[in-house]
Amino acid sequence: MIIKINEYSDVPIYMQIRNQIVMGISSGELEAGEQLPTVRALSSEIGINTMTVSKAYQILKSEGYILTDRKNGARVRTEINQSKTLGSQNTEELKRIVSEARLSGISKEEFENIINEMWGN
Amino acid sequence: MAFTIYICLVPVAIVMYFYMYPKNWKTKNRILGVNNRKEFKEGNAAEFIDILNAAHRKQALVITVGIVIVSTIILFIPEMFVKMIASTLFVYVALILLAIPYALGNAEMKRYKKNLGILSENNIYADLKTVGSIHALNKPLLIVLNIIGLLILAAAVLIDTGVIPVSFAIFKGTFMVSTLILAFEFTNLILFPISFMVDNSRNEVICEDSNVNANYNRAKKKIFADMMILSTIINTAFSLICLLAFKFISSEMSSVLLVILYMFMLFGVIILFCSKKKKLEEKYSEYQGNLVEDDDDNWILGIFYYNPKDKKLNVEKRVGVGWTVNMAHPAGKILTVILALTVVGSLLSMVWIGLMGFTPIRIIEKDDSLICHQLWDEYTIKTNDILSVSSGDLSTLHAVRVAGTGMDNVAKGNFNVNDGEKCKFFLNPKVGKYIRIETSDQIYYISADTLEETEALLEHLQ
Repeated sequence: MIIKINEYSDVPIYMQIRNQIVMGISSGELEAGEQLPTVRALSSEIGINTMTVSKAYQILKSEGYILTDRKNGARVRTEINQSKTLGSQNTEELKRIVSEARLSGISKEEFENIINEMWGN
Repeated sequence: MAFTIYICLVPVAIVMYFYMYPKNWKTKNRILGVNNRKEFKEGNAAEFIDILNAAHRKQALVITVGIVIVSTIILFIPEMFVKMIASTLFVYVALILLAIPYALGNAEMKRYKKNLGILSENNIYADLKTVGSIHALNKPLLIVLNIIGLLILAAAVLIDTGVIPVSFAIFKGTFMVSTLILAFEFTNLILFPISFMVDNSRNEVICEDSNVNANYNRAKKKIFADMMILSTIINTAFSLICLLAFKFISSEMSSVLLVILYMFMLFGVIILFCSKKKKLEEKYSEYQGNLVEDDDDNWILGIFYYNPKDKKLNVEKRVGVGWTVNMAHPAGKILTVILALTVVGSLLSMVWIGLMGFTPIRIIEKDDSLICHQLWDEYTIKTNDILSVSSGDLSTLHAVRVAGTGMDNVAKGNFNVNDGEKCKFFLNPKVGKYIRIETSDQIYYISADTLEETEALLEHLQ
């Protein structure tokens, strides 16, 4: 799985890492139980501070997407806790996206198509 | 020395020309130090870059031909020290000249990129499947080779210091063999951390397919690791050859031939590396330009990498092959200063050699003393201490320098003559004659700056 870090983005680098790993797990690019690179290796690869990667992993761990232990490093959880609800922050974000889509003249059908494409099979 | 510089500079200049100014830029990762992009390969942009590349290529060709001609002319300078100064200074001049069309082209390409509306996004890509998992270096072999090399060096030092009761056929009483082996082992010592650093360096992301990325980076690291191992094998083998050869071969010419053979072998390794790297890039050229990490602005003149945001020390070179350092990294700053000091040091040493070559040696008689004087070196021989004075033809004298200066027109310092007689030299070898002065605690071989002055001095001393 390829992650892309944009140094000029308003989104902090640790959140960019977190978001892309979540997207990778969701799309299946990162399989359940798959080993993630160590904090040191990933920070060295991207050329950023180890604390930044560590912070991203901590968030992923607290959100229940990955497991970390000293022996095996970080791995994608085999069973991710499914709350069956969208968090309040994501609901607000989705509301904003739907509003902007409506204002830009996209029909509900077109919007649904975009979502279906992203959702996959 | 001038010939060694010649056989190094000319092939390097030719290889640099082909690497820096490729004809078929569309298949390369970079054009004049700027990342190649899909936008560059289409329509007017492609035409413009064709013209730009051809113009700079032509300039570079003229410069390369000039370098070959001037380097050859320098070889025919009769005075050895002038030849040495000219060839050393010309190395810097040649490298700077060869980089000028590249630097100008880099500035033009960056301007043109802005005109096309391509703004630097500073994206960094990492393939999670390859991060930290691609290695190709045979670490145990590298460590074993270095240990063998160090053992050979230790043996040479023990022989030279007399701890091991075996003597070399030449360079007796000097540390020449140890120094030569030290030079080979020092090269190994430099290659050792570089090998590990490159093996652990970041993996390039060339496409969305992790398997392609993994194979590409594995192959790239393997080529570099093989070059490091091969270079280490050559250094260790030459250390061993030195140790064994100088036990049996008494010709000083053999050391020169050994160094020339060594240089050729190293060039062979570099050419092999370049050709393998070229084949690899050609094999993966279809993927180039798909995912571009736009860090062009971090490359000063397209040659020097300066990125304070990047925590990495080593990055892959844009021009040529191998790796370079991030000059914004604290260790990179130190390495840059060391490199700058090395350049300044070599330039100052040329000034020093020039002063030596142009300043005649002088023998002055003052207050019952004979003062041998040149620049800041001075030997004082008390005339009362002189036990005997004799003279001879310099061609009959077999002298080996231990520490000091050995140039065409000045030989001074500690020398060993005729199989181990320790003495001090202060003479102009061009005179062809020496005066041997034996005092109670030292033996001197001296001459004045001309034959007439030397004969007059000898007559006076006798």
